Amino acid sequence: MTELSIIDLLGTIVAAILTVMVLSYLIKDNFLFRFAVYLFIGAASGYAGSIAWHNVLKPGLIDPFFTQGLAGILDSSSILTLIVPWLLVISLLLRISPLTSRYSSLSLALLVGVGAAVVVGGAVTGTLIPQTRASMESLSPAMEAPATGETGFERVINVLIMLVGTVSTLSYFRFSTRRTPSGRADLSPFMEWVSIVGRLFIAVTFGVMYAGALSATIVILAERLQFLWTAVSSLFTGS
Amino acid sequence: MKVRTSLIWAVAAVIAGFFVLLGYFIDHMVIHNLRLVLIRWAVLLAAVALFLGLFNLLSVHWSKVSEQLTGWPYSAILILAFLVTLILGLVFGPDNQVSLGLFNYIQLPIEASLLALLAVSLAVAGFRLVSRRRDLFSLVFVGTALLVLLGTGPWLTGGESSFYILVGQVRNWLVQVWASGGARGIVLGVALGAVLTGLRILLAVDRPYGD
Repeated sequence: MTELSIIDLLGTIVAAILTVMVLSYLIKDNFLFRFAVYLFIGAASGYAGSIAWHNVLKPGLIDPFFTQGLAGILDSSSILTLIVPWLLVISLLLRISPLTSRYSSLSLALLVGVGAAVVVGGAVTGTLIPQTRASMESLSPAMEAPATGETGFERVINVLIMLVGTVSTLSYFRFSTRRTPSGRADLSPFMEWVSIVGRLFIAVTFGVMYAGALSATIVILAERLQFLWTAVSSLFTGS
Repeated sequence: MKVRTSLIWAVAAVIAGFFVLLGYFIDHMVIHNLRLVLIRWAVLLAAVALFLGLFNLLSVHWSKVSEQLTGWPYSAILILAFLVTLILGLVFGPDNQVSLGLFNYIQLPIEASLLALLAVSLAVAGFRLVSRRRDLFSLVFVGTALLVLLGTGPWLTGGESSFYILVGQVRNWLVQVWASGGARGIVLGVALGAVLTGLRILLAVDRPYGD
């Protein structure tokens, strides 16, 4: 047996044991399940840390010292690319202690400001504009449905259902409304009905999503059971 | 006149956010370069923030171990797994055979098994919904889910019967028309919510960066 296959065999045994430990939760919450979950959180966070170091921090903060040398670091062009980032990072690291955390506000403000702008820009250019355009295009009764291929009256009915679904679901999300003394949203009777229709469409959508998630996780459960069966049988038969 | 420091941080956040947002809509060299610099800083800061979070995770579990609080052995396992994975990842890199081995033989099976558990949890939650909350919306939710499940999987009686074909067609209609309309409304609603939350920060109405 080669060295690699021994590692593979040991790895498969560990993976099978961990799978059984997690699936033991189906009987009852127990120490085996908790052991596996804590192990997972530890390993996943350590792996995330190593990825952040190798893909972001090392190339952005450490490598320039070796590639540019002292002359490059002292150059004026490195102020924006190296010196300011280092100062911001050091400032953010002051967050560790409650005594110094107030000095990290500038870094945090920059992070939050840029993050908010990326969220707004991404939502507008990546969701609002494309989804609105797609809605307008798909709502044209003259257009053939790409998925179902229906045309004519059938298409008009489907277009109307989609239009009612989109508008009523959207109207269900109210970001500003007056409230009655009982705490409920103060809506006109018409908007109340639109909101109910919206909730029905949301129920249908969540039902579809639930069925999709259930199907996908059942497939994963079957895969895990098959993996266990293969691991156990290969251990006993040696194949 | 004494300027409140919180105002300086708010101005920094607003100016940085303004130039990044401007870069989405105006194609100008200066704005483009400024946006790239600001995003690069933010990415570096986000990575450092991740490490601060990891440090916090470690310190919380370290105090649980040192004070021997309930469940401290699990915290010890977490710390051990964290340190081993992090040190091996830092030394050899995340693409190395050792790190990938840890990922493939520890992280992947646990993650897949947790997802497999979700199948049971979802099924139990569905049954509980039917038994505890019998209103119109719950019935629509469960009815849709059952129809989609019936129309998706194969039947023991085979796929030749006209009823099976009808269920499949109803499923497609529900997914491609009814759920599409609802999903588009939800996506647009979520995007509007994100825009609103982002704009509150960019207009310094919300200031989650402290004083």
